[in-house]
Amino acid sequence: MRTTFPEEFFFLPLGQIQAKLRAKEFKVKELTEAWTQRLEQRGPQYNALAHSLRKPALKAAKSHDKDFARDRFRSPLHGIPYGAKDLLSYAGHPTEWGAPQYKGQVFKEHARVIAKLEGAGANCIGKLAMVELAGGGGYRFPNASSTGPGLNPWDPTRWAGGSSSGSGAAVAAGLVPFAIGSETWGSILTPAAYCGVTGLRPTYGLVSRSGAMALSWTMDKIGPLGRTAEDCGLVLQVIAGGDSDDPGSAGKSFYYTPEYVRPFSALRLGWSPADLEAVADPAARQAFADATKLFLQMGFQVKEVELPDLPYRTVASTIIGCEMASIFEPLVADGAIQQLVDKNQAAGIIAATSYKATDYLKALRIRRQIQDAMAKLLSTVDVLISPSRPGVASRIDEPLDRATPPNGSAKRGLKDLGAAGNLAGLPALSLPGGFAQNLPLGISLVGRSFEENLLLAIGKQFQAQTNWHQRRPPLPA
Amino acid sequence: MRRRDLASLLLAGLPAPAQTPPPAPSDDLAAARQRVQTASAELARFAVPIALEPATSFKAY
Repeated sequence: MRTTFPEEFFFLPLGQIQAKLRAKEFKVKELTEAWTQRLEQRGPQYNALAHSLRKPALKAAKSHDKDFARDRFRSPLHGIPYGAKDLLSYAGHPTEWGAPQYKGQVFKEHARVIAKLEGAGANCIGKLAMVELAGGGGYRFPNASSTGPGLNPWDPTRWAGGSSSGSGAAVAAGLVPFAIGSETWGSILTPAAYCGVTGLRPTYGLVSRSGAMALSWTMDKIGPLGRTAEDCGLVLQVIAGGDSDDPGSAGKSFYYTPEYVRPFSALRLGWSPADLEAVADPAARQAFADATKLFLQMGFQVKEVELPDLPYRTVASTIIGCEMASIFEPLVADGAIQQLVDKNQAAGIIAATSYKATDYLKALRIRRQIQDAMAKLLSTVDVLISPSRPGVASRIDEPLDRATPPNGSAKRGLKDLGAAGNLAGLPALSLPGGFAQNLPLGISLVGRSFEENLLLAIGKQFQAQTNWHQRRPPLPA
Repeated sequence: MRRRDLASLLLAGLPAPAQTPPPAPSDDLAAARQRVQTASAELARFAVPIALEPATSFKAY
């Protein structure tokens, strides 16, 4: 008899799905079939699906069923479907980077992350939509993608966030149990926050970028988006590890062991009231205040902190601009850059070719100071918390480069933590942290390099006390 | 075409020849170039110790 899966099944955490597989409640093939059908049907409604991988996924599912029949379990992800941002190559199938210029592009090999996941028995059922070329040129509208604007499952008139738009939307709508995204500057944390899912940006160098589109060699990171902090930890354990094919690889592994972190009472948590004052929407400000209060009540030693006065955003945009200009120089040279959907992004990439070598080197020198400053700050506290974004998802017709409303506080706070954390290569975890206007809000934890277990342990405890990560968006019309 | 030549054509009642201005950069491109210049100027103003080397081989630490 064919198994039917109730709606709530598609929102279970990974551990519960695999427990059902091990209990032989259904076969991997049935699970894959159900999830693929859901992704194919609902993915296009959110512009979240770039390409279905139904055929290879069902073929792999048959092989996984043979393993399960013999009680051979490869990993906590064995038999679990997932989606991957279309920036990662999947052998023999299109990898189009969200850009019209790369329509029909096919690679012979899997990206290292996909090879690792497939080796652990996870099953890629689809390539997920993204902002064209991961948005490095600076796009004006959310429709900067060959698949259209990433629509938010909580309200399709709102943006899913970028550039891992499809990854955020697909996890939020229960179209995949987890997804792989990438972040250069905000591309995992933003869709995680806007879509109400958990997103982990690993330490720079922890996860191989081999087989992934490069936007900025010294800033690109690959990481998971999932339902819970625990799910992100289980995925990171599989995808982390050294890789000689990635010059940025740190050569380190990761084992998800949140139980071994120090007691919270021995940990120092840094935050800034100025971050809350900077939130314009009163409902969002109250929700962030409530979430922050919960963190402050978890037994940490609490300290108010502020980022040192350094040009974080200018340094980040210069480094990304210079590296991106070199990577996409052929598109500028032959004029193909003009095929990008968002003309502002095309202009940004062309203009970036005019940076001077001294600009790039100066930015890299200031980056050293920023790394030192962040290391110093993180010697006074163990973890920083701050809103992932200063409000809910923007409307899809709203320009993204509009002027930022004035900061309500004279203090710097941690509002540049996104740029600072990415420049220093620090790990970050965005957790669903409340709602405003019936839309999710995200709150971020940032820690020292390679201390993902600490962030995940705090995230796990936070999610044991809240249910925001368990809420489901309305069914599509 | 010089201004005085155009004036003489108009006085003679002749149509002015089609003007083809050089292609101007789009507003988007001009704005993007301005952003690059602004960033460049901000970086130039920021003083760093002369001994500070760039993080050319970036590692998180």
